[in-house]
Amino acid sequence: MSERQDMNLTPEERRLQEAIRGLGEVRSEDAFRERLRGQFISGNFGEVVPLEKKSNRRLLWGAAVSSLAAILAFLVLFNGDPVWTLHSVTGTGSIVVNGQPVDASDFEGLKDLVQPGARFVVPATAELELRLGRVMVFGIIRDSDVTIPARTDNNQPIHTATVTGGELLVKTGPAFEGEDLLILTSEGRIELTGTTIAVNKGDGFTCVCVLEGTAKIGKDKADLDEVSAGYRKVMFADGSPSIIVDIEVGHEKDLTDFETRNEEAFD
Amino acid sequence: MGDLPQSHRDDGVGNNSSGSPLTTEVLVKVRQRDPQALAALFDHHFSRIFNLAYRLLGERTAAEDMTQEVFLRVHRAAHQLDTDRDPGPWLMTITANLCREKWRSREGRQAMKTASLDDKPELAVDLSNGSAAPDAEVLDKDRDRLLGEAIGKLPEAMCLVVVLHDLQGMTHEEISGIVGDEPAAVRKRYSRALLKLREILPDGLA
Repeated sequence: MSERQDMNLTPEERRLQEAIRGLGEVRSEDAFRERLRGQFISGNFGEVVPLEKKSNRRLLWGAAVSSLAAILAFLVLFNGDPVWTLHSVTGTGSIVVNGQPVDASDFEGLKDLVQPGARFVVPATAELELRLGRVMVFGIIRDSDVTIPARTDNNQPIHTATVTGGELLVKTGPAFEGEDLLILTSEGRIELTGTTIAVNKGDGFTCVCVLEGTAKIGKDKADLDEVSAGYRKVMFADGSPSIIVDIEVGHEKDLTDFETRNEEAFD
Repeated sequence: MGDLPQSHRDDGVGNNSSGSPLTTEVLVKVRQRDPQALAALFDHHFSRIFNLAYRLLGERTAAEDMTQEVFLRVHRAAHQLDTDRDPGPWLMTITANLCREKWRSREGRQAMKTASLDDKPELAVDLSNGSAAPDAEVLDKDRDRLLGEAIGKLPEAMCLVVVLHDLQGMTHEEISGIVGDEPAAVRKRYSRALLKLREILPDGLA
């Protein structure tokens, strides 16, 4: 337990840690505790409704009408397949989508140009976020050139994106399960099976930071390393050996902010 | 898990989750679903399981449902209990994993967003406040409420690490066994979580 004495905390962090550790214990209702104790000892839990069903029962009537409407709208509009949509644009300047410049302030104009396989060239003064249903969120950071995945084949659900320059942030969602995302740069490939990462394509290198989960990263299929949360892999165009090192503070902050911003993206 | 703060050991009103570890003899009887042994296991671990569920889900009813689910699963799997080990980490793992499943459901996230962590603050027991002046006690409770809510606003992976490390007394090594990441990654996540909490909390508290 000596590890609980975390080293290298600042005085502020130490105070915060002490405050958390000092939070009071929450007492259960006596009636609940006694009922459950009896059930556990006897093994007779009665008709235990699975957690999800309990939740569903509580929400059922309130959610029924809106859920039905949402499902119908979804089926009518999208025939069941999630589509890429523009979620937000910040900053100023001209964003080029498939060769067509649109002012960053023209949200509707940009929204109309979003389609599978679209290429986004974002200036140093703007950023945007795109969502593919509950499958994934892309954050295209300032001064970046990114092509989002084209429509996937149902028999081979691999989404392939390309980062030609700049930085792409990725967060996968619950509907990503069973699918794969492949991100290509001139220095290598990144294979994801559910995680939050940043792909930074600089001049002569690609740096991939992993905030959550793991990602397979390498120059080619034979060179893939599993990189876990808290680390980054840097691959070089000049043939220098790739390195795996701690995640960079600046990228980590970008990713943490991105993760927090999109915490409810898949609700 | 022997270094929990005093307030997490025993609230003095029947929610005892501490005391000496259960003996191998008791655990062998748990495997046989002996009623007395089951009662001992329940008394020993109930409070920690309920508190873990409460801190992770942020709402009393959800925590009760979760605690019931955990004990149901434990009862069903009692014959698989490893009698040579403290069952605490196993129980914490079951609870944490079930909470993570719930988080991933729409309803789970909704609960996290809307609930105040101290939805019945009069039931929050902090033995360390026993002799405090009333005003100080109110301030402490307000501070605890804000802090609890801030923990609930953390991204789920960060929230899990903070709750397990600081409120359940687990080491980064033990947490890595639950979340499936390297201890170094858990340590980094914990550090990031403290930074994030400082951003979330009002200036005076951070």
